This record gives sequence, structure tokens and C-alpha cells, in this order.
Amino acid sequence: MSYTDEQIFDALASFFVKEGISREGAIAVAPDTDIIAQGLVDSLGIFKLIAFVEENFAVTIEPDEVLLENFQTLRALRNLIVKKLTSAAQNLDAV
Amino acid sequence: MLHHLLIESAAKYPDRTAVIDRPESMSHRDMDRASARLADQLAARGAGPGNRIGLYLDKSLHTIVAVWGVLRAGAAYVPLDVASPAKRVARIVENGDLCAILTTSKRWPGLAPELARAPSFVGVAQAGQRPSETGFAFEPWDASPVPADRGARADDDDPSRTAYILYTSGSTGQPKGVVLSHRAARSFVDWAGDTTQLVPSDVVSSHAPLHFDLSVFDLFSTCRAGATVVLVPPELNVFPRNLADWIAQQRITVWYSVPSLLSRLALSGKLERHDWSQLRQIIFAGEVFPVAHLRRLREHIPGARYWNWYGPTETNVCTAYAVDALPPEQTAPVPIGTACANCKLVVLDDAGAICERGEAGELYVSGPSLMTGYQAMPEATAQALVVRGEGNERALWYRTGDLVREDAAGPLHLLGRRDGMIKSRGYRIELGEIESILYQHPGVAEVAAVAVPDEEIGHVIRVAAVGRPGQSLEAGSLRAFCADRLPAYMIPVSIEVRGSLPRGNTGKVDRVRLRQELSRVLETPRGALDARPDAT
Repeated sequence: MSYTDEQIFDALASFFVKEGISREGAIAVAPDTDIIAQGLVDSLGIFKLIAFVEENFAVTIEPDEVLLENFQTLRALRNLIVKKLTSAAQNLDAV
Repeated sequence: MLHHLLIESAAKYPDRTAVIDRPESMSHRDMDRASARLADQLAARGAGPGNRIGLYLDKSLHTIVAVWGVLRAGAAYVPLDVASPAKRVARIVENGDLCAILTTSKRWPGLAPELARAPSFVGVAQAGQRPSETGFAFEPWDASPVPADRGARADDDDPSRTAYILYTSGSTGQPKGVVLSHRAARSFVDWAGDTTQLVPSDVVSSHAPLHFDLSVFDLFSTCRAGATVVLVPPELNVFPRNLADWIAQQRITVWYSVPSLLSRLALSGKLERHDWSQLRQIIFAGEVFPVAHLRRLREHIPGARYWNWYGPTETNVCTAYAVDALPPEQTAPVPIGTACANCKLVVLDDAGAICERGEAGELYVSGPSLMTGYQAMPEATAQALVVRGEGNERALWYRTGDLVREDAAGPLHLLGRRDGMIKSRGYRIELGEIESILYQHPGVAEVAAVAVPDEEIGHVIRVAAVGRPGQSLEAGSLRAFCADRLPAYMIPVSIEVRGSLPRGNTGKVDRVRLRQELSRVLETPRGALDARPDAT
């Protein structure tokens, strides 16, 4: 499964709308919005965000990957997702 | 007086670093000068003893200057949580009758429109500028002057004067302001500094927000020792591994926080990657520390001394327990310990008689660290502070509402609450406050909030609501309603709209059954997330 960047950003932004964090476009979560410094994701929210990503992109995020540098912005998260999808695809090819 | 601590540390240790907020820092001398200048600016605008000044600021160097500056002007500081909805902050501004607010150009526009009654003036820190160079830019807010001096001068060092007011959850829906005097604060700060044997070379973490009373140790006991306090970047709360790296890199020697954060560090921080020999004291307070997580933390950081401190905001810390052996079979939480040197404790039964050792009763606390009362709430104050004893023994006692039991060896064990107050991530939450907010929603006929025990954060809050007949009520709209009016830590993790609430045969809502029913919500996808504390 592959996605365009736009699809990934739209899907991730929809998480914040669904969770009531970004209501009626009051806060626009752009690819480079610092979602952690802005307080849009806290220590409970991170679990929901991880589950959302795992469910929507059929990837598994390992505990070792729950780092500020992977979750600070939607762009950082997009990079993580793409990396995981790519390695999953390679693993399939290898089989 | 609290501010004497800074004046003394600046005289003794002028060049030592007082506060670090990466990448910035300030020496004790610079902190002394910046706060003295701010105090002059506040005094020039008429603020002084008897006045209360709000700090609507993210934690930063500016904020620490503001704390000291307000105290030196003789006024009391009132931390206002920037993460709380502006509507709630506005109610605190009103209850506290604040004469001024210190804030930033980024934060102020979010609060100003919500204020029904404006403060006399506002000090705005300019984003990105060093507080030692620029300070606050002052602007009058409206024409009303600061209320006249209420009988004391700034140089008149009266320890009964209010130092700060910390707002906590109130069961009626209105946050309660706990008023603490300089005497009460010093009583705790001096005890804590002596107990932890802080020295100038110590590097103390400051994790708690200023409106949380753990911050009193971080700021004042550290300064008293001429030591350095390091502000923990809030984003690290979310990422235990980054937080572990940070604690090691900053060479923190004394850590003080709620247990839930230490649990996350122990479970997910990969602590074995670092050398922890510099970390000599780990103090936790605010909630129960699951003993399995505490044991795991101690396996990773065996060299530190571990303290369990207990005390409601109204009393400051009043008991302490130095954690010793944790046998593998122990599952009960560690005790809250014995009375601090500055506190007297008594355990009373429902009839007001002193409990025998081993018997459960309510803990009452007396001594110089007690609050003055609740801000502008004489009834709540009269319920909380009671006179007890005869003759020389006659004293004010604070009813904690906490049930405790003294064990055979002496230390007290915390058993639970007498009322609807719960703890989540160390924050005090009155379930009644959440319910009374939701009852303001036009579509709600009936609502109940329950606290479901959670291994990691203490409790999670779940809500069941019944809509008015003929109206459709959506969980999403209730969630948004809460988000506008409650701080994040009080927002329920789940809201279920249903046809009715379970009732006992007296007609009262059966909260035990409701809690069981809502705990089963754990099977749904969102609940499944809450049930995976190991996921980080």
C-alpha cells in the first residue's frame, strides 16, 4: 500500500479533528506544526495517536520509535510511516 | 519571608547559576536584580501588600523572575494555568480579585476577551527576549486604580502575609484558591531543604507546573541552598526515553515529581542506557506509586535515596517516608510515613475521637505550614479548618478528607478518600466539578463521572450521560464542551451517552455498578489504548 504525502497529512490531520483537538478548523494542524510544543498531544494523547496510525496505515510502531524526533510534527511522523511501509514492502518482496 | 531566600543566595553565591531554561540561564545575582527591578515596577503602579497578581505564563525564566518580583513587591502570586481553558482561568481571575496579570504577547490575547472584570494593569513579556534585559512591558488595562494599601508596607515583613494562591478542583464547579502565607511556605521550604540536605552543587529538576504545589520545593528550597533549578521542557513528558536522556545529560542530582511520570520512566525510559550515579535523591508526591514500578525504578537507579512525601496543598508536605527495603512479595504501596518536624498529626474516627493504632480514621493536620484559608470562600474554609483542643493545645486543624491507618511500626498508610475527590497524574480532581460542568450543557438531563483505577496514572475518568427527552445528545459535543471549560487532566477519557443510569433501591445512582459498566468500555478500540501502559 502506498500513499501520497497529501493523503498521509490529511489522514493525520483528521485525527486531531476526530479527537476534538482541532475543532472546526480552529487550529490548523499543518505538516510542520509542532504538535508537542503546542500541547496538541500529551502523554495520554500519544497512545491514541499511535493507535490511530497503526490502524490507518497497517503498521506497528515499536516502543523504541516513540521519540520526540518521530512525533514532533506531522512531517516527522509521515517520514516514520513511509519508512515503515517501505521496509514492510521490502520484506514482502524478500518472501 | 520567601524572597529573603533569593536576597541571601545572591549575596552568598552571586555567580552560581540559579535557574536553567535551556538554552538560557540566570545567576543568583541576575535573578536578584531582575526581580528587584520588576518589584519596583509593580510598586510604582501601586501593587503591594494585600494585592494579588496573576502569572499567565508558560514556565520560563520570565516566570521565575515574575514569582520573585511579585513577592518582593509584597504582593501574592497566583499561577494561572496556560493549558486550562480561558473560561476557567477567567473564573480564577475573578475569584482571586487580581489587581494585575503578568503574561506574554503570545498568551494574553487568548485570555483578555474572557475576562468579565479587568485587572488594573498588565505586564507583557516580549517573546524571545531575555528577561534580564527587557523585563515586562506594562500597559494600563482600564482606568481603575490598584486598590489602596491595605494596612501594610512592602518593607514591613509580616510572615502571615499571603505569598501565593494555588487553585485546585472544587466539588461545586468553582476552583478553590488555597491561600498560603510566607510563614506556611517557609515552614515547608526550610524543612524540605534540610531533609534533602540540598547544597550549592545540587541540580534540582523543576517538573511540576507552578499552579501545582510541588513547584514550591523546586523554586524555593533550591534557591535557599544556593543550588540550581532546571526547568524540565514540558514536551519531554510525552517521551520517556527523551526524558531519561535529558535527566542524564543535565546531570540532575535531585528529582521531584508525581509518581506517574517516574512509572513511565521506569517502564519505557530504557534507563539502562545511562549512568545514574549523580542522581542522589528521587522524591515523589501527589499520588500513590505502584510498588512494582517503584521497585523497577530502584533496580535501574539503585544509588538514589527515595522519598514518599504526602500533604494536600492546604498543609504543604506534612508526612515523609524514606523508602527502605521493598521485598519482592510486597504489593501494598509504601507508607506515607511520619509527621514532618513542623507538623502535628492526629487520626480521628467519625465521632471525633482519637483512633487507636491500627484503626482507620481521617487525618487531621496542624502546625505553621497550614493554609490561611480558601480565597473568598469563608464557608469552605470553615469546613476545612477546625479548632480542636483545650488551653495551650487549642489550635487550628485541617481536615484532609484522607483515610489513614497507623501501623505497628509507626508510619501512616494512606487508605483512600472520604469524598468524591480522586487523583489522576497527581492532580486533584473533584468528580463533582466535572459533573457540574456537564450539567450546564443544554442537552444533558443526567450525568455521572466515575474514576476507574489505572496502574499508571492513578485513575482515568469515564462519564455516562443521559440526554433530555426528544433531544439527540452526542458524546463529541460533550467532549468539546468539557475541552472549553476544564483543564486537560480533567477531561474524561470516554463519554458514553445512554438511556439511563444504573440505580440502587434508594433511587441514588449506583456508582459502583456504573464504574463496573464503564470499565468494560475497555473492550472498545479507544479503551484498548488506555489499557496499554507498556506501549511506549
